[in-house]
Amino acid sequence: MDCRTCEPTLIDLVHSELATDAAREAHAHLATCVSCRASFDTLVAATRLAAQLPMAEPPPQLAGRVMEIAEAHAREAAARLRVAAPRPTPWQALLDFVGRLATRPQVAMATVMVLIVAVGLWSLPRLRHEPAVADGVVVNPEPPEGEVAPSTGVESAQPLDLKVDMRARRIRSKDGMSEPAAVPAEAPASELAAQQTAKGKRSADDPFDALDDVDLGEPSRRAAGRGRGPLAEPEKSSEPREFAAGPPPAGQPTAARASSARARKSERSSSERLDNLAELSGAAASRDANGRAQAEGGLRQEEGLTRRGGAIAESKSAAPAAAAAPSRAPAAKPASPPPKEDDSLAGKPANTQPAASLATRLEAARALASENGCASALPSYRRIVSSAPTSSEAGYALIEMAQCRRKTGDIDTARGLLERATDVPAVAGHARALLSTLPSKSPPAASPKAAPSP
Amino acid sequence: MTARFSDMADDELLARFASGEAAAFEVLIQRYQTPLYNFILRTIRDSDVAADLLQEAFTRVIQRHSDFNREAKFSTWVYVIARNLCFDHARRMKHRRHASLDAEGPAGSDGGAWVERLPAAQPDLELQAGANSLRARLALAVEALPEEQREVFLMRQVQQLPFAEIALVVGVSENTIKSRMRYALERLQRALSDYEEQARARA
Repeated sequence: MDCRTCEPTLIDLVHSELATDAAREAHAHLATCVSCRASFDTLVAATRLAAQLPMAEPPPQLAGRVMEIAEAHAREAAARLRVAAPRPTPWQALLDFVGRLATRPQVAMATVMVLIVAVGLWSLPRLRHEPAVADGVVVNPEPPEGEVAPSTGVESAQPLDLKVDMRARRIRSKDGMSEPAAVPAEAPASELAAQQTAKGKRSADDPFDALDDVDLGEPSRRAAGRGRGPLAEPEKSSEPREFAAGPPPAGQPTAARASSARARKSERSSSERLDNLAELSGAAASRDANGRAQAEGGLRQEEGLTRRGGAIAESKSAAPAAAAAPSRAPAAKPASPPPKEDDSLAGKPANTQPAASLATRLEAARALASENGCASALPSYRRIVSSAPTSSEAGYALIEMAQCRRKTGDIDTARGLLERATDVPAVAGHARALLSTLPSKSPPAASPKAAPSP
Repeated sequence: MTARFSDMADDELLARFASGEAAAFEVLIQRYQTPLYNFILRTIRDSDVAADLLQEAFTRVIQRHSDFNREAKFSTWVYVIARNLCFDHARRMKHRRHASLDAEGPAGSDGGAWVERLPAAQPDLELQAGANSLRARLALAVEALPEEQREVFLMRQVQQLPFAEIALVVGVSENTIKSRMRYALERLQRALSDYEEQARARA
């Protein structure tokens, strides 16, 4: 900024009406320019001097005279307006009054408050009429037959106190009742009762148990453990078990099993799976019964079969699932006694299993024996014999069991099995032939003789 | 009601007066009578005439309020009325008196006299009583200003009108108004400095 551009801005600078940037530049120039600075100082002094100019007051009556003129003019103006405008009707006057009143801030605020209250009161009944929705209540139609209607309550569901037995794939409720881990579709109770086998241990609605009965080359321990019912725990002993001749199993009354089976029956849900497993349930129950007998350390064949037979008869009319506690009771018992067991089976339970399944199981046992040795197939052979003692498959199973015993040097057991096999018409001749080949005495265990296999 | 009108702007008061509320005009009188009177007084240097011209100015506002352009400010309009009244009075008196004009140059230049310097019919008693006082000397110095500079100085000093509004009243550019204001201040400063020197000299 120079003198030429600074001088016109001095009057604004004196009256503080200069922009900030321009004022800064002007002050910067004044700091360096003596003439402009002198001019600025003169203006500042003159402005201070001008502020002392006396102000004369007008005559006091002047305002009055002016107001008289103003009021007269206002009256004339109002008169002209009244003449020009028609006399408003009462409705128009009321509207004018309301209009003037409505434009006031207080009236406007009061109107807004009234509207808010009115909207709230109008909305309140609508909120009251929605308790069902607000409370989460669901209108339940009539459920289809056989189904359970959904809960209509709003209370939260209590968590189920269940224990999942992963080994047996079972869920155990707080009261000890057991049920399969996978809940199948519902089935009529009568169907389930008809399909239940001895002692109700083995649940027909557990496909895994049914599949295990096929014994598709699995270890003997699993094969042995699976045959003892839905909640049966695996046998603690890994040794292959054979039919044991001994005291009947204790600790599992038939009535208790039946009651527990009936309790489980009420919770069944899968009819299809039950249908598929119906043909296996009887064999499974028989095997369960046989397995329990083995776990208890040997059973008399006749007595065990009788018990099993009775259990089979009972389970047909009992609940589908076997009781967990009764099943576990025999399972918790110590392992079976030593292998001096009578493989022969007493009693003549009816061959209730279809021939096809026995043949399949016999083939499976033979395949297991060829892969893992005849000792691994002994439990499978025993189950075949126990399920259908007079069937041809049972006869062949007895012969193959005898051959296996003969290989291990247990000639006495082998002889017993062959003698039992002579009771089976289909293999009687073959069994007698094999009996003639057995030595009279059982050789020492350390040196078993190798007998020619049939 | 007067308290309620005192918070209103000038144009709103005039509108209220136009709608028939005479009390609104009273507020306008209270706001403008003193500065407007001093503007007229320092211009014509006659207190009686100044009162009459002030009343005339308000009367013209009352009578012509419907012609008022709402886009302009009321203060601008009322000072235009007052300035015109002073012009009219000066022309009337020109024909009555044969006082010499203080011709300092062509019109528009510094100090062009457009109003005959009239002797005060009623001398300012305050000025007479305190002729040696600074304020009295200042008042005389203001009255001695060239008319172009005096009117700018008076509108700025008594009414605090912005330079842009003064430019609208006078009808010239804002830069011209600022220049006139600066010259008026410098002249007053020199006049009072001479007074101070004289005072020191007498002392």
